[in-house]
Amino acid sequence: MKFVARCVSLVVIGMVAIMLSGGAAMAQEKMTMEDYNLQLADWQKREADAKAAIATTDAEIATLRQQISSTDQQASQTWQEVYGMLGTDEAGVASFRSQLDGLSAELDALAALSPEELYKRRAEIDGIEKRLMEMKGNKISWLTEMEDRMATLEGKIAQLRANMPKAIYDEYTVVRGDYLWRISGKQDIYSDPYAWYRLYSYNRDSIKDPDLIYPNQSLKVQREVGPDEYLVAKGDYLAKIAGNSAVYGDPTKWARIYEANKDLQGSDANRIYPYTVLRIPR
Amino acid sequence: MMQSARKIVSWVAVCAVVSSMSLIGCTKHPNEKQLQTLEETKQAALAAEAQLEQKRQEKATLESQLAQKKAQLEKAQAEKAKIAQKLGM
Repeated sequence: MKFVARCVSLVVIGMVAIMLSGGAAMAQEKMTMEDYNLQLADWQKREADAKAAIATTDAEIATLRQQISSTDQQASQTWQEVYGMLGTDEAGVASFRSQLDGLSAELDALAALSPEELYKRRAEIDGIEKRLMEMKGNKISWLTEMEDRMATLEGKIAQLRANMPKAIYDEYTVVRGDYLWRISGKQDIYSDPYAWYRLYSYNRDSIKDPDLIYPNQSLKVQREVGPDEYLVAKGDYLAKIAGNSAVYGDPTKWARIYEANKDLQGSDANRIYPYTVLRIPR
Repeated sequence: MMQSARKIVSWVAVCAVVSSMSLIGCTKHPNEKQLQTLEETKQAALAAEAQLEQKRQEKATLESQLAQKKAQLEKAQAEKAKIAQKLGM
């Protein structure tokens, strides 16, 4: 009986050993032929599908390239026709654009100035505006791009004008013993006693009688002639002033100046003196 | 009694060995060459798929370019119509 038990034990141990070694072998090579065939077929199908899709996409790409080229040519041809209608060509439009860029750069430079500096150089703004108006007479300005650019420039000009002070003046406080002749003769005022009329006419709203000014009275000392003002020089008369391009550029409009300055001139339109600050109604 | 027991044990042992062998040995596995073929096929498929992705991206870029060109053409045509109107043509 002992022998039988030993034999059975040996057989069982043997079987277990064989099963274990077989299991280990299976763990090393998991893939069966069936799995292999399935995977191989799957990868082959993926490769074939991808290659077919590449061929289709290549054809689509070729068509797209052709369409892009054709659309590009059509657009170019249409622009040439537009330029022809305007009596210009691509170079003419480029030159116009470049001129606008130049004006824009000039306006940007002016925008970087202090308000006082800008005030002194306001004639440059007028010049730029004039050139812009001249450019509007060119048919190239009909192009939408140019319209947009010109509108931007007009906006910049308006912004500069809005930022510009309406007048540049210093304040002077009258002290005991002052009179206009004396004040205007001071070195930090006008260094010229004859310029007292400039002081008076510029402050005529607060000085009723040029012989009557009071201590602590505040006077404005005009430093720059504003856009709505005119400083009379020797030899000036109203028609001449009205004819000045910075005023109206039209001598026949002298009466407008006279009406606005009647408080100084009284009933005589010819009565104007050097150093008078005239108001120019716009 | 002893003899029959020995026979039984011998048969059991033989059966056990045979069944174990058949359990392991009957399953077929791909050989090394087949595995290499599978790997090569896999790499080729992945490469083709990557190339396809590149082509699709290129196509998308070109579609976007075409849309831009069409918009430019429409702009030019609108400009032409506007100028013609201004000129009273």
